[in-house]
Amino acid sequence: MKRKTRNNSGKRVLKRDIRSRYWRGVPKLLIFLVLVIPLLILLLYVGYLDSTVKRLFEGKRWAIPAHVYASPVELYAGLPLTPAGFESVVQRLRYRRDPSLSTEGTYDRSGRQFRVKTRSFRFWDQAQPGHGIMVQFSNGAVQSIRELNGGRNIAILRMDPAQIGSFYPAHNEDRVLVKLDQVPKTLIQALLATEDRDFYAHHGISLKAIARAVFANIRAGSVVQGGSTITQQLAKNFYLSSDREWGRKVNEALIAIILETRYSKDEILETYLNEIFLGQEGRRAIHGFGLASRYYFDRSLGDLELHQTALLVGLVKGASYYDPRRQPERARQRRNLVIDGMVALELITPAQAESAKQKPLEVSYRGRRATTQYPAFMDLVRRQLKEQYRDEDLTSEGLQILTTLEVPVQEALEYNAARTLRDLEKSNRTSQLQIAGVVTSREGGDIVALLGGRDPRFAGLNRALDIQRLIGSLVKPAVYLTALEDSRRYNVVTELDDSGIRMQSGGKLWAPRNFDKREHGPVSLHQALTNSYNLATIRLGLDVGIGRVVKTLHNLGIERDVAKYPSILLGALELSPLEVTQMYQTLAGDGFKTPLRAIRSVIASDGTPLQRYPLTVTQTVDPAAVFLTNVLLQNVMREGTGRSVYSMIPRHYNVAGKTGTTNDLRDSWFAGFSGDYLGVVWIGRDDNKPTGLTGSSGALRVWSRLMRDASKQPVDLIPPESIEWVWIDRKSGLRADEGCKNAVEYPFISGSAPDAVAPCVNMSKEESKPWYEDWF
Amino acid sequence: MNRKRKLPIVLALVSLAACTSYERPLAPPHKERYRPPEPPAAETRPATPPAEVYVPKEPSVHEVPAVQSPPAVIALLDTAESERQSGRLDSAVATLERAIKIQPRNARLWHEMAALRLEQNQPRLALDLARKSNTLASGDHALKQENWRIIAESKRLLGDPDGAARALEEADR
Repeated sequence: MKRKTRNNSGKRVLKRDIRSRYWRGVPKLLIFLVLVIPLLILLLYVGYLDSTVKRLFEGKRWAIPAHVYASPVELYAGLPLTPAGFESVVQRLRYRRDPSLSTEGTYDRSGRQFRVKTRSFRFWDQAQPGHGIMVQFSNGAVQSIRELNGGRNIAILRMDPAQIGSFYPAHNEDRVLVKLDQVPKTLIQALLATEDRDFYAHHGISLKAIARAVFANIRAGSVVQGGSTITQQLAKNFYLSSDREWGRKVNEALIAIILETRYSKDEILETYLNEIFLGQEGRRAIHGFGLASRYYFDRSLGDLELHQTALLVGLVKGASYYDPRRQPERARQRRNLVIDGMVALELITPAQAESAKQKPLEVSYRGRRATTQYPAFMDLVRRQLKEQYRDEDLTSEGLQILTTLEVPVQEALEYNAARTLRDLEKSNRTSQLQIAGVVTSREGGDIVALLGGRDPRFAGLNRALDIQRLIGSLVKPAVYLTALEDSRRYNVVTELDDSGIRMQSGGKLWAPRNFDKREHGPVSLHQALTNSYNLATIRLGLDVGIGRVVKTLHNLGIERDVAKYPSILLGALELSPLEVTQMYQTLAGDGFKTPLRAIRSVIASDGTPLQRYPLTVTQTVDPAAVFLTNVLLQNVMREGTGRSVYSMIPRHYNVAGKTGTTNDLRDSWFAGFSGDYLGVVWIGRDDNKPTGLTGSSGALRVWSRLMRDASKQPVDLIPPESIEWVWIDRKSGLRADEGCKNAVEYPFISGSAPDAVAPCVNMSKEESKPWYEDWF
Repeated sequence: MNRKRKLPIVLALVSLAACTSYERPLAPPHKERYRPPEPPAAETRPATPPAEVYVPKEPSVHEVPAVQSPPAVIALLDTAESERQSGRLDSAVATLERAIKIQPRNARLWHEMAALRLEQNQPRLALDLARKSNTLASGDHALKQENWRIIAESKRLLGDPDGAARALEEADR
C-alpha cells in the first residue's frame, strides 16, 4: 500500500517527504519557543498585571498623609483679642473675604465687626458644623458673638484648627479624598467633555477617540489631542516605569482593559478623581480634585463655581504647564477651552459660558510654604506619636492629629528670638549664637510653641529636645524649695552664710565663687535667691542635704539620673530645654506635676476618635513650699537678676522666674512664668564656646519680649491654707508689727515664722503707750 | 458616687465661684510687701536702672481682668454636664479641659474634673485633681469640703481606709 502510493503519486510523495523532512529539520523546541512561550508569558504577564492592578486598586488605594493641626481658637465674649488679631486668625485659617459669605470659610469685616461663615470640623468630642456668626469687638476684646440667623447669642465657639503640617509618605503625595456622590455634576461633565467623551461607552480603550485624535492631530500638523481614555490615564498612574513609549502604551492599554473588566465605571471614575496629579507645592504633590480645590481656591469641591471647575479640569492636561499661579494667561486660555467644550456638548448654555469666561482666575494667594512650617514642633509630635503608631500609619492612614500648638505664640517666639539674636550679635560683637525655646500653658503643660534653632524653618538639630547643657542657677529654686519644705528649720528670712567654701566635688577640689566675685556674709534666704548668691546656696544645699535636693529635682519632673555631687547645687547638671520646662512646670502648677504634651487627640480618617492625651496632675511637692518659692521667684524678677523684665511688661504681671548663666558665659538661660504661659529659653553656641551673655542679658530678653507679645494674664499666686503673713523687721529678721519702720510682711508656713520679737515692736509700743500709763 | 445634681444649682454655684475668684485679691504678694533691704548685686546689673519704657501695644488687652467669669465657661460646664448625664464621660472630660484652658485658676473646674474622674473610676487622678482644686480654692470652704469628700472616696477606693477617714474628718470640719 505504501509502495503503491509512492508509485502512483511519486511527485506528491516527494513533496511530502520534503515537507516532513523540512519539518523534521525544525526542532519542536523552536515551535514551542516561538508560539507557546510568548503566549504563556503574555498570560502570566496579564495575570501579574491583573494582580498588581487589583492590589493597587483594592488594597490601600492611597496613602493619605496624617494631617497635623494647631490648637483651635476658642471665641467667646471677653477673650482678649483685637479686630486685627482676629483677622489674622481667619486669614491663617485661609478664610476668604467675601461679603456674600457664599461658602464655608468666608468672612467680611467692617471696622470692629466681622461676619464669618466658619468651616465645619470633626473634633475628638464632637463634629462641629459651620456657623454663620457676627463677631463684635470692643476695647481689645471680643464683645459678643451672635448667630447671623436670628441673632441668638453664642457663648463660645471653637473655630476650625489651622493645619500646621502633614506626615507625608515617601513620595510626598497629598490628597483629600472625595466620594463620587460628593463631586459636583458640573465637574464630572466638564471632565468627561474634555478628556473622555465616550467614557461610559468604551471598554477601556476607545478606537473612536484614537481616530478622532489622529484626525485632529493630522489636521493641526502636531499633537493637539490625546486619544487616552480616563481609564488609560488612570492606568498610566499605576504603571510607573520609564519604559519605551510603545511598551508603556501597550501596558496602559492592557491595564485599562483589566480595570474595565474588573471594576465599574463609577469606581474607575472615583479613583481617577482622587488620583490625578493637579499641582506641586515644593516637595508636596497635589493629587485629586478634593485637594486641588482647596489648594487653588481655598474652597471645598462642592463650593466651586463653573469657571473654577473648568480651571481644575484644564489642569489635567498639564498641571505645571497650565499652573494658574505661574502661567495665568495659559491657564485662562485652557480654562476657556474647557468651557467651550461644554457648550459644544450642550452641557451649559452659551450665556453661562460667556459669563464664566469673563471671570478672573480667582486663584487664592499662597506664599511659598514648606511642607511643614514648624519643623521643631512637628518633630516633637512625631516622636510622641511614634510611641504608639508605626511610620506607615502616620503617612498613610489619613490620621487627623490635634496638637497643642498656638500659632500666635509660636510666631511671637520665632519673631522675638530672631530679633533678639540679631541685636545681641550686633551689640556684643559675637556670632554663631544659637537658641532654643519652649513655651507651655502655665497650667496643663500644653506645649504651645517650640523653637529648635535660630532658623525656625530649618529642620536640623532640634535644640529644644536634643541638646543637654549645664543649667547653672536654674537649679537653685530646687535647693530653696527643698529647704522651705522643712518648715521647722527654714523660712524665707532664715539667715544664710554667704562666705567662701572649698570642698571635694566629684573627686576634684572645688572652690566656687559668686558671680560678682564678692562674699556677702550673712544674708537672708530670700535675698540669697533673689540675687542668685552661689556661696549661700551651696551652704544651704549642703545643710539640707544633696540627696534631698536631688530628690526634689526628681519630684519636679527630672527623670534622668543626677549625680549627688555638691556642684549640682550650682547647676552642674546637663539638661535639655524641654527637661527644664518640665521642672518649672511643676513650680508653675503649684507643686502639681503635669506631663508636657504636644498632642491632644488623634482622630481616624473617618472621624472615629482614636486616642486622647488627657490633662493629668500629680502632687509631687508641698504646695505651701512651692508657694513660698514662687514668691521668691517673683522677687527675683522684681528686685533681682530678672528685673529688666519690667522694662517690657507691666509690673502688675508679677511674673516669676530665674536666670541661669554657666561658666565663662557659655550658656544663657531663663525659665519663668506669667499667669498664662511658662517659657524656657536657652542661648548658646553649638561649639559650646563662650557667648559673652548672662541669663539676663541674653535669654531673658527673648523671654521678656515673648511675654510682652503673648501673655495676657498676670501671675495670681493663691496662698494655700497653711500660709500666714507675718511682719518682719528687716534689720533684725525678727517678728515685727505694722508700726515698725523697717517692717515688711512675709509669707510663712504656719508656725515657721520667728518667735522672737524685734526691739522695734516694744519701742513702738512704748512710744504709743498712753502717757498716763507710766503713772501707775 | 452619687452625683445627681441639679444643673441650675451647679451653674449658680459655678457662676458664684467664678465671681468670687474674680473679686478675690489674687496676688497676695503686693509690691508694698517684701522688699529686700539692700540693692542686689545681680548677675548683670544694667548701667542704669531699667526705665519704665513700657508702652502697651494694646492697652485694653492688659486692662482685661485676668480672671473673669465668662459665660463661655458656664456654657462649657453646661455641655460637660449634659455629656456626663448621657454617659459620654470622655467627652465631658474633653469639654472641661476646654473650660480649664480658658480659666485655669478656677478651683470649681478642677473639682468638676475630679468628680468626673472618680465617676470614671480613676481614684488616683481624682485624688490629685481634688487636691489641686483645694490648692486653688482659697477661702471657698464649701468647695473644699466637696473636694475632701472626693479625696475620702478616692482613698477608700485606693485601699486606704485610714486616709479616707481623715479626709472625711476634714470634709466635716
